[in-house]
Amino acid sequence: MLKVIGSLLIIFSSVFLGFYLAANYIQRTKQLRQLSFLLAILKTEITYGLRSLTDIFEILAKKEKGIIYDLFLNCGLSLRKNKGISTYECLRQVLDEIWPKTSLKDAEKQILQNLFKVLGTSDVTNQIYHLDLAIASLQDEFEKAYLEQKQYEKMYRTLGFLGGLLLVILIF
Amino acid sequence: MFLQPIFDVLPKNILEYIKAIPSDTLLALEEIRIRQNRPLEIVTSKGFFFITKDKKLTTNFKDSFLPTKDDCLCFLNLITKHSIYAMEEELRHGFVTIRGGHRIGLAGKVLFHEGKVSHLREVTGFNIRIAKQLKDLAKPLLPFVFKNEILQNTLLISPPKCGKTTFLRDLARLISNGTKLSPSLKVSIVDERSEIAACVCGVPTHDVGLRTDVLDSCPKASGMLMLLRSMSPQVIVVDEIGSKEDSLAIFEVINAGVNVFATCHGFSLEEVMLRPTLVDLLTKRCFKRLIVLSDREGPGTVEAIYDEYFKNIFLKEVLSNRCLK
Repeated sequence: MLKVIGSLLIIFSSVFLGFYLAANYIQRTKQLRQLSFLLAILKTEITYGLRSLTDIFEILAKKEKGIIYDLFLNCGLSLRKNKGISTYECLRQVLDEIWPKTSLKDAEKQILQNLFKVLGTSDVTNQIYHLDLAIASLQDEFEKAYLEQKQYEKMYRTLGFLGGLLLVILIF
Repeated sequence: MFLQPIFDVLPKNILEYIKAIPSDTLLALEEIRIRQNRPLEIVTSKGFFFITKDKKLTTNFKDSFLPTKDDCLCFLNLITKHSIYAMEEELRHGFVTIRGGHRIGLAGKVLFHEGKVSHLREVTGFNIRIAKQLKDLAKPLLPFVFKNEILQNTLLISPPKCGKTTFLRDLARLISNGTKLSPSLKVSIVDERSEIAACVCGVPTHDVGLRTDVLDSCPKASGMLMLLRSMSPQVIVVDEIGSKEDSLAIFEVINAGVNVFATCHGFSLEEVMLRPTLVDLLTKRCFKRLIVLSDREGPGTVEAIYDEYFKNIFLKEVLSNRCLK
């Protein structure tokens, strides 16, 4: 009886591990999609709304819940509250703080960092150019991430279960 | 404190130096000038000073603190609220108004497009002009701008930095609120350079009176006509008239039964008479009162007050000569 419970526990935990690893891929594509979506609205607001960056960040952050929205919320707060430091410094601080909590990778961080270096510091035409560039690069990353998700999501789930099963068989 | 809005937008580096200035000098501060890689300068009523690296005031530029490129970039970020794209119009005009009515003039590389300034890039020179609202300053002038209890069209004449706009703002406020001498009137201001009311997001940050409407950063000539049609003002207030369109608009407004308070640059009445765009307004007796200011005894010294026939009606005993001080 004890053996059955033990082996079930092993299988459960390895299945869980598999799902957890798969979830990372799902989260990554989801967050990438959200990020592109938010940058696209940011672009519209900059082009037509001409609101201040602080206001735009705060408005966008209220649209939904999630870590990417938190990133935008904190960017807005940082710009509002930090006195005497440059735009990039305000945004960089937030990026460094929030990034570990996301499922995104270094490539995306680099894209955002490059964008933040120019965000709010040039005229509309230039802002659009940089936003388009960032959105296009994120789209590339998204496609890669989506392929990876398709490849690995199922694999990790099955692997989790089968791995657990293998372990149980090996033990007994 | 009235300098707080400026402290809020100064880069940390520079703020340290400004805050180290003795408080009596801070109170007399007129300008702070930031130039990339050149000494940080302050201008007070006593003259100009540089700030040394150990935060002392000096007139000698050696050992003075030099703002860096990063400081300038950071300052531009802060005064544009991290959104230069939303301030292109201001950059084209070469200045940004911040809370408290302080105006920051900008210098840098100008980009020209089709004969017009399209953008200002690489801003490396800043001049923070500190605005101080002095209330009741124009009160002694009130008896002169009324004749038999009827408001007279008034033109304030002075060279730059002699308190023209300060007087104009206070006149607008006094007439809008009403005093013992004058009833309260509906006042409209065309504030092309956001100097009179210093609007931030359309709301005046200077007290310009309870019954005052402000058309912010609108060209004067079209603004005056817009107000005439839409706001039914009794008095229209404009700063620094000078173009042909301005005079034409003033002719329209005055003959539509609305009073005008305006200012223009000039050292004396004779000098203004030589300006082709303004001479018509004067010879056709549009302005019934012409007030000449100077800084002979400090900014806001009233030199003369003329009526429409250019007769000096200024009585020194009625008016304490030094107004701003």
